[in-house]
Amino acid sequence: MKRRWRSERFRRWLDRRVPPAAALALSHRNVFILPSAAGWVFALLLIAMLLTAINYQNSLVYALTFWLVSMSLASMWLTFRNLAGLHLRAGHAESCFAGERVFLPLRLSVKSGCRAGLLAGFPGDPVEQTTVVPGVSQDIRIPLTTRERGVLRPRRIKLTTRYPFGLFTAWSWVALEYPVVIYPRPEHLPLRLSSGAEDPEGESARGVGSDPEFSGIRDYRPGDSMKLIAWKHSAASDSLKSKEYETEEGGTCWLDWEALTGESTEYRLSVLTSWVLQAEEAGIRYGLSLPDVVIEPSRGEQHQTQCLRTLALWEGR
Amino acid sequence: MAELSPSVPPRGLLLLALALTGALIPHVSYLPGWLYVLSLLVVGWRTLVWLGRVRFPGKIVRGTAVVLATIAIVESSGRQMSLEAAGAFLVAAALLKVLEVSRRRDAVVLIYLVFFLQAAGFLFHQGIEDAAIGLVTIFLAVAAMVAVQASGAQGLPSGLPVLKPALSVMLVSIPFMLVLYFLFPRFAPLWSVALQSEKTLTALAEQMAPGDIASLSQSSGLAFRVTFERGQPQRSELYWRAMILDHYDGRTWRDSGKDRESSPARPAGDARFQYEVILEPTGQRYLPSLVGAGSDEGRIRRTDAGLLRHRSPVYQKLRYVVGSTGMAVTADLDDEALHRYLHLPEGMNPRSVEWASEFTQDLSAQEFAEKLALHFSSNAYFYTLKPSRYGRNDIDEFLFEGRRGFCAHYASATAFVARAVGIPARVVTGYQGGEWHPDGYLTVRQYDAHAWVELWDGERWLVFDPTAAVSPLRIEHGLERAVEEEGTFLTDQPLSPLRFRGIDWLNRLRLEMESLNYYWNRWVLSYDGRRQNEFLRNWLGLKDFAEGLYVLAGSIAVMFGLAMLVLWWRQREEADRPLVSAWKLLRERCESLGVEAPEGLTLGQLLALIATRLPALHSEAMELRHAVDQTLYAGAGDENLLARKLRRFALRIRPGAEATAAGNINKRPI
Repeated sequence: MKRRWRSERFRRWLDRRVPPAAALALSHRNVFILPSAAGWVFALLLIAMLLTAINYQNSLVYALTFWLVSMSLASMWLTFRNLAGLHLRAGHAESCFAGERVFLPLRLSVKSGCRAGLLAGFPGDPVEQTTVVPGVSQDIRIPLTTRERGVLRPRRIKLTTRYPFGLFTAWSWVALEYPVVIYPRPEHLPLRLSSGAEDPEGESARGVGSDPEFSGIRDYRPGDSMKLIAWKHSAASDSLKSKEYETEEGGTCWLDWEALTGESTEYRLSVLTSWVLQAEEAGIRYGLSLPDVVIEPSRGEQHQTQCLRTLALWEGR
Repeated sequence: MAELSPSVPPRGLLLLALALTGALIPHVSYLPGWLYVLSLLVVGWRTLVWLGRVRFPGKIVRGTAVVLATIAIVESSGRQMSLEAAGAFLVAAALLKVLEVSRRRDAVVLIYLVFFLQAAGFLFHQGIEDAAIGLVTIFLAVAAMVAVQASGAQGLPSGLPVLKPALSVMLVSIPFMLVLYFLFPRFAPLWSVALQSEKTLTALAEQMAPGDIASLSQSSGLAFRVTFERGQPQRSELYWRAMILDHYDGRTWRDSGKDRESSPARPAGDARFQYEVILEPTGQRYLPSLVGAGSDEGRIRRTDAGLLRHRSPVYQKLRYVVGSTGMAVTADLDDEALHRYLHLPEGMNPRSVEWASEFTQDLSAQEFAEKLALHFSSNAYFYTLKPSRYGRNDIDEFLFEGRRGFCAHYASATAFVARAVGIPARVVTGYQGGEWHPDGYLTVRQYDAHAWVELWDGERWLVFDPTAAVSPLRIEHGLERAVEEEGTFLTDQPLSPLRFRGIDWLNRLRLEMESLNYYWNRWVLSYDGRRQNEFLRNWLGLKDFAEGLYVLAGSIAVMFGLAMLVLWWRQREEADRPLVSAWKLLRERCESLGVEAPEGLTLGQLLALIATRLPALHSEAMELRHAVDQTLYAGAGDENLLARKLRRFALRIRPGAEATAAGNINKRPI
């Protein structure tokens, strides 16, 4: 309990000190440094060498020991510098389903000096190692195992380095904002029809993958992709506008929240997610009916995304 | 974090192999032969692993190898722990570690071993050339460290420099290393180390039988160097006393061990000579000094006979400062001592005893010395390094038949006859003379080893060197001139540069090298507590060590401050790029008006947002946006000019801007 409180307090402190942002430059504010395990062993080695120098009254051993001491202090600075000055920018991550691994793109760049032996990763997930040279942006994708649907609230990325000597570990807890939506985990249940009006087997619409058509400008909605924002129109009016695309009309079925009465909310959302996927796969036009939200039947990638996002972000009941 | 220790890149392996080889060089002189076989096996195996022919040895093979190596070391060192055995153990450990180096962790362990091996190597060899090799080794090891740390799952990124960062770290670290080196307190050994080198050190023997000094005479090894701080003795005064041999058993002279040591005696206030000696390791306790010596160093004892001895045997180069009066101190001899200095074994050398009885009974020591000197110089005695072989009554045979010998023979015979006459006498061994270097210091070599006699005249000990009577050249010009005709100088060392002193440029070169070595010894190898105090006092103007500690702390603080300054400077540079700061200003201004600008917006998007939210600035914002596109993406236009424009624009975004926007339309007369 106490530990949890403490880690919570640490998180809040960290949030104040290193606030989340889409881009970040590392500096002494957000880089921490401590001797690594190898560094402690090295310290023991230096003590042994110093004792040798004292007991044998050997000037050369003194000189060697002091040189290594001096070098390890310099390496502390170099290890710190290997992180400091690094610019990080969150890339655009593709949505995935809860339980899958989302790959969060991270673009690293640096103005001067090579940055070698950089390790980036989330605690518990695999770590990516990379090297950044000046003038070239380095893109890496950091895997993160997702747990729940909704807007991804990633924990902080741990960026670590031990370069050049491995005697010190410098690290930073990087909080980058990834505006990515994690869809509910699909729970496979064969698709049933709730309205009963149309028989999906009888549908003949096979125009899967037809190109979306530009249909107009609408108000910006939270979650709209940056690509969708119509900057020219936004500039002309006093609010952000998005471009809207539609596919051609076809046969319809409804994926209905009420069809799953008696189940838990998350289970219902998971099954609906699976149905969206099945319907899209089958090329059926489908609409989504949730309490408070109704999405008119349509199909196509755009429509599927809209349905999945709605399911992911649904907060009612 | 799941993090598998990455494998060692080939470049790292190569550097590591070179560093290990370098670290082995100082150990080569004593390693047992089988270790070379082991190293070949290990290198062969590791190479085959690298080529993919065989796999890394398993646990059983490695375990067996460790056990076998340990046994072999214990056996080959004669079951005695010596420095050499410990060194061999370290070397074997490093070599066996090579067999397992595949991942970063193993490499790190091996690099640490290389550092320690190099430090241990400095215990064996400390010349300039050894230090230079050590420097290269350390550089390679540091570079290997960098290579090992920089490599990831895909190996070492190509084009990533390894040698350069290693070199720059080493260079950057030099100032602080020097601060530590000069200011770190030089403690006395914390405990006496049991591990000492079993290497046979060249030293004076504790006993003297005919022939002993002659073996030293064939060695051009350095015995010690002396720098005179006060006084400049004549060559004939340079009798470096090291040991007193007062017991004669009919064959050899040895130290009876009855010469008591007392606490350190300060040199007399009227010491004529003040000098600093840097003594090469001898493995013995004696410290050569001129007659009438004293020292105020706590680790130096003085015996009743006026000899200086170190607290413990000298295994490392030792530096000490002595003051000498040049005169033996007056003293009393008790009965026991008188008896000891007059003792002769019964029935030995009867002819000498008989000859002694011909001397007047109440002869003074001075008269005896003069008589004997006359005897040696007026009869056909020869100074030679190739004396005849003498039998059981060797002094008889030498004095009356062979008449050929070197210092040991003359000293031995003189002391014997003196005792037979009734004058207390003892043999002194040590060094005589030395070579004055043009830089003003004296180099004493092993071939300067000498033996002479001290006679008791009732008040003090009188120095008498019978060799001087036979061969004045030996005293005035050294051994080389004394045996010039004979051609026996350094016959065992045909290539010794000391044999070619006649060739001028070669001799100058030799003197230059000696000079280099001298300063190396004086300033690097023998930098001890005393020298440190001198340094603090004379160069830094510090009175005592406490002040030195303040300087140490101060220099750490200054270096830390400098590093911080550099860091701050770098950050400042980044912030100072005009376009970036203008951008920041723009963003701040927007936020002060409550226009939220998400973090990821580009400059163009930010301007578009401003145009949307602040209609009064709409046209200007759109114009600037165009300029941004032109400058940043089309590459047409000056970035700094754009930054200035942006800055000017940003300053116009102020609380009035919104109101103006609304006011333009609904302007009401007041």
